[in-house]
Amino acid sequence: MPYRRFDWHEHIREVWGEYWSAREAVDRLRAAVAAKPDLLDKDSLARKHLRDAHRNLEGTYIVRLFAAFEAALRSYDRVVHGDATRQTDAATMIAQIGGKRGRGIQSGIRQEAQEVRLVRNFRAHESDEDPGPLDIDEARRRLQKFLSELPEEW
Amino acid sequence: MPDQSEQFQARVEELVAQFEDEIDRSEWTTRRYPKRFRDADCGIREIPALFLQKGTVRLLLDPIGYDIPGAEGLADIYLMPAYDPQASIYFEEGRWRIHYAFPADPVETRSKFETRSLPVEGASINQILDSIAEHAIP
Repeated sequence: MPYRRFDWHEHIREVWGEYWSAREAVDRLRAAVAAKPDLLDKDSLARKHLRDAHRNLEGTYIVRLFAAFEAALRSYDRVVHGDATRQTDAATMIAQIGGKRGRGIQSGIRQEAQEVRLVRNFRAHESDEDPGPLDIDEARRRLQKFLSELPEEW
Repeated sequence: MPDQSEQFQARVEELVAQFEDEIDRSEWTTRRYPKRFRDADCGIREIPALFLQKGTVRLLLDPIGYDIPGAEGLADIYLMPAYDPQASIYFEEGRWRIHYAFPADPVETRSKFETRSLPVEGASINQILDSIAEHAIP
């Protein structure tokens, strides 16, 4: 059964939606604990963990978002090369993968996806170099735009 | 009696057909896409999604699911290709209703975004799609 690009778009959209739901939940819990600090008094570390969850939530979801995007590219890359075990790193796939109907992908779209990859690397502690701010909405936009350049099926 | 998944499929068919019937054909073109939908017991069925286009603005009416807190069904409208959310359509109290944050009136300096819930019918479909298209940055 062929892979359908739409399914990968859907997966990225789901991860992004989960982020916003988790963000709402964490924000509401922080507000509740601020108003009533003994709400989390059963675990001495719970308030520290809540602070960390708040700080790291967006980065965690950007890592997941990029993982879904990378899985889509890998699936396409393997089909194009007829090699189900092929391992190409994300930077190379973003730089080299061609678009639908034999067209290339605009360099600006590739560059924007590479910038999301650098944010992923920083958030996943694969790099110490801070690439600067990029929020999850912008990351989602960039990755979905890149994916939309691929054929509908492969 | 149809299960929830079958019922959702039928409701989405009805919603998509309503968009196709009611949309202003002098402005918009549409194309169905068979979306693979995974239901709660991991069965897969195909339900229609609908691409809509007016000039350079492309939208997707995307059915999301039936196990939605506070509603019996949800479909979203996204601005493509970035999947920017624009409006949500909930199946509530036996009918589809579209929820949309109308942009502020630039003349009315004190006006803010106003989220409204409207029944899905010809007038609301075209009013909201035209508003999305007018304010979209493709």
